[in-house]
Amino acid sequence: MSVFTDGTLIDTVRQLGRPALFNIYFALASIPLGFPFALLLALGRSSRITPLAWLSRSYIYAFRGSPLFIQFFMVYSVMLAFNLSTWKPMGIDHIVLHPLFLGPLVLVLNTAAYGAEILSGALHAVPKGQIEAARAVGMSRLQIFRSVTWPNAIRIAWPAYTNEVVFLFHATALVYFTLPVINEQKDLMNKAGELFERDYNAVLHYSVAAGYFLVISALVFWAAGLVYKRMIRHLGNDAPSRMRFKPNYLR
Amino acid sequence: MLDALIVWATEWVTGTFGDTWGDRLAYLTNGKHLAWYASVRFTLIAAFAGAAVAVLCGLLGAAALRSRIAPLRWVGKVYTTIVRGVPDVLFFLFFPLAFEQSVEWFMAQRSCDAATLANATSWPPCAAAQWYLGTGEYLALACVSLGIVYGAFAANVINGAMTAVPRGQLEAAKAYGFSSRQVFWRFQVRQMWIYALPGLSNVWMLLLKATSLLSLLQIQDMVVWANRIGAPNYIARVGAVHGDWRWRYYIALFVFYILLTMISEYIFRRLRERASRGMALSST
Amino acid sequence: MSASIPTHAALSVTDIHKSFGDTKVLKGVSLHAGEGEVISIIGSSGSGKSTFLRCINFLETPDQGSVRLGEHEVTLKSGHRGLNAAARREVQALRRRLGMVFQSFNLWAHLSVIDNVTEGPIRVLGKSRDEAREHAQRLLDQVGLANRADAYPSALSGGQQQRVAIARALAMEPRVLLFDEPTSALDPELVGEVLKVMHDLARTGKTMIVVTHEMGFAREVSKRVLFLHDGQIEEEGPPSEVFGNPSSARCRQFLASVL
Repeated sequence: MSVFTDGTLIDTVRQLGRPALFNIYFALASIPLGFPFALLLALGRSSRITPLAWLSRSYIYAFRGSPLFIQFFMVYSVMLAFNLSTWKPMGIDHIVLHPLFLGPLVLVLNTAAYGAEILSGALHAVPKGQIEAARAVGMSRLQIFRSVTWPNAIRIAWPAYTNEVVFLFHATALVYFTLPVINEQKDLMNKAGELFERDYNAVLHYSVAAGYFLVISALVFWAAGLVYKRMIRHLGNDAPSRMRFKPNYLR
Repeated sequence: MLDALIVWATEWVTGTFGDTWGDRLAYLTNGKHLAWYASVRFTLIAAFAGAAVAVLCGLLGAAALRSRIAPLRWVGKVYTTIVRGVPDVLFFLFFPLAFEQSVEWFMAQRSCDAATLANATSWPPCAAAQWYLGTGEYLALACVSLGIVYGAFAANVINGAMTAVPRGQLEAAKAYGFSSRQVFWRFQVRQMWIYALPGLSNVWMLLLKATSLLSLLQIQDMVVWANRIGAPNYIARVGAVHGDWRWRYYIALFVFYILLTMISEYIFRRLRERASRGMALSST
Repeated sequence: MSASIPTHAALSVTDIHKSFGDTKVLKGVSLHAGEGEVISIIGSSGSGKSTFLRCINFLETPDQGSVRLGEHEVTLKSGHRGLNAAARREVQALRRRLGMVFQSFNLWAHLSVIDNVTEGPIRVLGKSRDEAREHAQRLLDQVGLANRADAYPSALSGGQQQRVAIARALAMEPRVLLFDEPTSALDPELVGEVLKVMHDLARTGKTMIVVTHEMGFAREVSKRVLFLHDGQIEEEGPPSEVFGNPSSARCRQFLASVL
């Protein structure tokens, strides 16, 4: 029996390659919006404008305090409810109800809340003395943020935010449990399930899917670790020990 | 009893606030809605039983991680790393499937004849080996899955907390002639809980949120009912009873989970205050 | 160094060797304490004095050497591979009779002051709860903290914590008390209250071995002073001799730097 026939390890690895791209797509598409949104929420959280602070806090609490699975259902059903009245007349129903749009949308809403918590912690951890020094030199608030607060905060937040990205990637496994599968657009979970239906070999197919998640998580972590090393280069002996692979148990 | 109560409450609301509110209450207490409210029990059972298994797995995992025997340490390391490197939903689906299949495999060895076994193309090989799982079995399997997954997180928390207990205090106990078992249980484990509580509270929150996945294991939980009650409802004789109301029910679930989180946070805060009575710990 | 072992010695520690990795921390240190004797061990940091004290109750296992307290004795030959079961039992017996006071107090944070003092007598010595509490109250009174019995350690000052730690050590009714730099972690204004308690203890005839940086205490209270340098005893004798007319150049140097 050739290793390339159906039901072998290599065949499963090959078959799950393309679906893995969908999980990667969902995660990658969520970060460019999720990160700035998280930063806005983090800034809003400690804003002096009370309603803004309250709103940011509530948002963060709600989206961290409820399951992503429910958030998917909620957003999808709300979007569906607007279909006849809004999307259809505008002619964009095919776009806004498409999983490749809706999936990242929900993930953005979710990751922004977790990211905001991380970033706001980091913003608060920036050494006060450095900010005072910048103020003493006569920098404006924006200048202080750009040249003192931000570089410090991003360095402090980096390891935790990397964990968040890895977790976001894991969370993409939920997308097609709530949203419809269109044509052959299947992710790892779909495809593993489909292969399982074919020969009932749960161990093989799900292990390979798990392997994809593990390997990609490790790659993300490795790359983020390289960046982190550059970030803390200047700290010398004060630098924290290297970043550890510790996804999200303090999420 | 419940029916009478509902009828009475509906009449009272109708009399006091008018027909609209009475109708709403009547609608929200119809049979389907009551079934929806009752399905909360699956969520709570899964959360509590899952947490119990998770603490057990966490203690075992932490013991393995701290073991003096290297292979045990590797087992602990592999367990915690793999579980945390893979999405929880994958394990959630995989464990029950794998368990079901291994049971069916044993049943097949006993009750299918050899020829069928050898030439089997489908699963299970013969009808006699089919194991029908009901809600109860699925729920038990769900609890075990949740326990195994979040046990890995708990293992890391407990391991860290064991290390966080000040060494000096353990040395003092040793110096006073406490046996190593006493030092372990009466001092290290006793204080470990205090250091572990914040982390365990995090794990509980994760587990609580993961209970929303029960419907993936054919359990008629809140999500299934929300979908069923909210779906557009047409009766041929009456026409459209209501349109697509699912969004209302999902928003209700969203709020429900936020409330559960709030309650959990409150309880954990109180627990921590109690457990760390007199101990000066930074508040994290 | 006295080679003859006094037969009346309450505690005999003989020829202790200890290395950490390739670093030899102790190169054969002996100490014999008579009943009621107060011995101070001084020396610069890194001289091995704390390690020596920790070897006496086997918080560090010596590479070689023996410790004898009354009828209990543990002897370790060089090249041993850890303690066997019999030696472990003897170590437990030794520890029960050796009180220890730590530099960083090490009070048990989850127990109140009184429970810190009674925990050992109840769990290790098997005393009744009532008896232990009554004894503890008396000891707390003795260290001037009778009114803080129900407080938790975190609510006490460093000096108070160390006094509780001394009461905790006394509650075990030890034959010998070991002090590991008991005042080093204290703010200067709190040192006095702890030294006073130790001073009173010495007067009641407790056998005490004190590793300390407090030269005043070593000079006034102790009967004998050991100067440790580089894992060996460089100078030993009554305080008047060690402080007044030290024979070793290193000891003179050390005293000049701290006095």
